[in-house]
Amino acid sequence: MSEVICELCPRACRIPEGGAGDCRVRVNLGGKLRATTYGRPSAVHIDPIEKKPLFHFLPGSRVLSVATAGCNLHCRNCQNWQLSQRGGEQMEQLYHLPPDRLVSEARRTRCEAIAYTYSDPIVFYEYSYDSAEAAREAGLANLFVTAGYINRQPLRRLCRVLDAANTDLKAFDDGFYQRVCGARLGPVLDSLVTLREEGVWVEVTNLLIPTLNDQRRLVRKMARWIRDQLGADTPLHFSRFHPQYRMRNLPPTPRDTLQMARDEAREVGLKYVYIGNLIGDDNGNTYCPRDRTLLVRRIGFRVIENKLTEGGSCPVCGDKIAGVWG
Amino acid sequence: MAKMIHPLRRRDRTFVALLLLSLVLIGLLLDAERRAAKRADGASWRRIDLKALERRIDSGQLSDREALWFHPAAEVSQ
Repeated sequence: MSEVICELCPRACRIPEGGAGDCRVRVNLGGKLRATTYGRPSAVHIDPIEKKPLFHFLPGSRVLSVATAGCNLHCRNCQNWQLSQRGGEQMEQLYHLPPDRLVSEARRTRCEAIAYTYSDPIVFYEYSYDSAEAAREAGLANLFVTAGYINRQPLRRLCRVLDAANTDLKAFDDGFYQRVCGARLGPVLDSLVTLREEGVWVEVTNLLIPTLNDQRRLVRKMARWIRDQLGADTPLHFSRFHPQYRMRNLPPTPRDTLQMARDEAREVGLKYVYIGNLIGDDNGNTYCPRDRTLLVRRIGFRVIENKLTEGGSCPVCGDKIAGVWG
Repeated sequence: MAKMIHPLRRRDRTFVALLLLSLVLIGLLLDAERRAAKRADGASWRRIDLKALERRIDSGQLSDREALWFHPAAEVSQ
């Protein structure tokens, strides 16, 4: 039996011939591991960059979002489970879109970036990497929307071609990761630090699920960690949970919980804290941390007004606002 | 004595059945969590519909591109 060990993510799957890794899409055929969804995405859409969400990276730009089947996490509340919890052979829709054609498609549709997203781009690593390399040559930016469950060495290599990442920090609790996602917290924190060290623009999303990860102390602990390890200027997005997939027994996150989380994170010292998946007056607005000038006004995923100077500074006090603005 | 036990058994049959069912469910839940934790720690793999996969690779719908970041397990065992 020609077993192989996949070293891409911390699972270190030991895969016998004819078997797949835990992600379902990296398959041992003839003693070699195959990336079976390379160039064969199952989801391709044009999105506003705010949908990722990335609020401090080219606001208002269009991005071509791409994803293949498979994921190395198995969250009970996954919103893309029809895509993420299936292998390529189970997909009804498979596009033939190798890296060069993906980049051409992004340019044809006047997108400024390609986002590797929806499932987890870690499991289609080779496809993301080659596409990102080609995209960069074509002057496009590369965005990763990920849970960050990847080993350090492959991530460092990937960072060479990444411009920005939104990493889902699902809870500041290893037990939650094990129970709800079938993963561990430690490697995710390592990935966040690596992304930051390698100069990739990082934003963090935390989906607050009632009773599971919405305790004040967890929010505070997470915000402190972000402040100390990634920097106080790291944008943090608290996102509202909606019951779905295998977690239909819990209600949507109450508005008060999201506001409590935002207040806690601000109190700890984070400068840019947002609330997502919830209609509200200033949930997605960017304010100057010094004088509270409204800099970017958003409604949902739409940028209504952008008052930042060309260099990305506050027009009133002149302070530079962290981010990549154009 | 037998007369006292008999009606008690009948009355509580449903309760005992529900209790046993709950214990079985708790056991299954704990087992699922143990499996999830084991998967998170590694050494996991999945059976897939290999014939369907090979058909799709042969037809070009899927790819057989060699992946990065793997090595034969034999290298570790030696």
